[in-house]
Amino acid sequence: MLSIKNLDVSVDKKQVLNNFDLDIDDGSIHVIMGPNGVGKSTLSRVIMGDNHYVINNGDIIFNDESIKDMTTDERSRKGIFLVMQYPMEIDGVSNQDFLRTAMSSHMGKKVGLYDFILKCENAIEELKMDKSLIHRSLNVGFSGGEKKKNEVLQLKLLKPSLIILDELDSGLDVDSVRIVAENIVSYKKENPNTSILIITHLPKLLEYLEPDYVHVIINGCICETGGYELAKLIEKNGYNQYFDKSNIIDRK
Amino acid sequence: MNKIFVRRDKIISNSDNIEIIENKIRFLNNGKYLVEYSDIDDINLEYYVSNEISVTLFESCFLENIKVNNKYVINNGNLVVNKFYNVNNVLEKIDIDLCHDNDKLDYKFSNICKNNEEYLININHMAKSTNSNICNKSIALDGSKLNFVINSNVGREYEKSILNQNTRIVTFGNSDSKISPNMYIDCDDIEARHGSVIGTFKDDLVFYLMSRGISYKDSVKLLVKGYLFSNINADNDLREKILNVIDMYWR
Repeated sequence: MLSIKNLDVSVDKKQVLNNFDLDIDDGSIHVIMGPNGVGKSTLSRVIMGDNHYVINNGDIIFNDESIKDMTTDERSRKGIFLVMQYPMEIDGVSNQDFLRTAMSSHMGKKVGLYDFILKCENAIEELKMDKSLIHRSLNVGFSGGEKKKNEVLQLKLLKPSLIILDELDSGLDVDSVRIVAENIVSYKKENPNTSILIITHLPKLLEYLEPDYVHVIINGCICETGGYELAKLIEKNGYNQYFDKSNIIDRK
Repeated sequence: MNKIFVRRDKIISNSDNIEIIENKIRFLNNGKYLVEYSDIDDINLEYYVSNEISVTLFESCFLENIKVNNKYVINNGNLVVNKFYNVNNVLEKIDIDLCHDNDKLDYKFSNICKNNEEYLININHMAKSTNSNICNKSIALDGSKLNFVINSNVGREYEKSILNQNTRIVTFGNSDSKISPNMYIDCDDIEARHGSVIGTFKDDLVFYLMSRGISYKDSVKLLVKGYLFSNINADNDLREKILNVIDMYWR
């Protein structure tokens, strides 16, 4: 599904991803772990096409097609969805108007109001969201949990084939983490070929979304890959051991 | 809805709730009033709100060139102005007098500036505990020139008054925009705030919308709509007109 090859990325002339490689098969769940500031969120934004980041080398292949030169909206319409750590608040843009425009863009035709309401109401119920949020300005005055639920609502309506979860659990209480994670699990069950890339520095979320692969990223590249047991090991021992390793490999 | 049509030679209204004498419009009852300017280039009006009434005005103008010299007099009342312009050239001077204790003004103006527009807004607090809220949200298109001068004046004895000025201009391309927020306060016990911002929409907002599959053009259009309608509370007719203007620029 997604193949990242030899990716070098910089922002403001500072290298943030170094010769980064990652392959994600259809239906698999991968986790990128690492301490703060090592390039985890950068990776998610580079995949999504944030033009603040400059790709100096390498390629990003999605479903056998290079997306490196595609715009962010094109990547989204190809089926990539980034659940953002800090969803933007946009005063005056109603959540409903935004969601309907996004759905229409994905479907290539204007979505009828009745059709939209029907789809929306089901998803809102499953997420145990307050129905009034749909009529309010996008994410304005939403709690942390409501913002994340709103992200998952978008996901359920846009039906992506690759979901990137960037620090999904930040700003969520335990109950909200459970509800949001359960909804993603249920989406995954309904769409088994959907792949998930989880970006986190805490492994708590993985109790709900058990990964096939766990990668540890330090200094902009993957320094170790393993299974779920690696995440458990990190929970126990922390990241210090990797800084020692990266001193040898990469520190200049 | 009470309607007032302002034309070159006359002012026409369908409402019994107003009294019109020459260029003076006196509101007689609480209510919402729609004001439309057509076939006129020199506007000179005086609006009067008194006798404890609350008036909400919806003003709109889609003409080529206008020169405006209007006055709003609040004397024991509340006035809310929702106003939208899409005009080629504007030279506007507005005087707003709050004459009676506890008078309240909420002035919300939005425009899409395509050429050259100058606004001078004078708010005169002439009684105690008066409250003025001025909120301008403008879009300045490429090559346009937009200037706001806003003067809030409070005399020595008009304590407990509240003044707020908030003006934002979102620019596209090269535009020459200025905001001069002035507060002339000769009184110790007042509450005053002002904010002035000139700039583009944040890249992160556009990125967020585009990350949901919405094209750059449609993302900007959504942001423009949200920006303008977060300021003015338009009735359906006016909303439709503003949407048509937005569609015209962001096709």
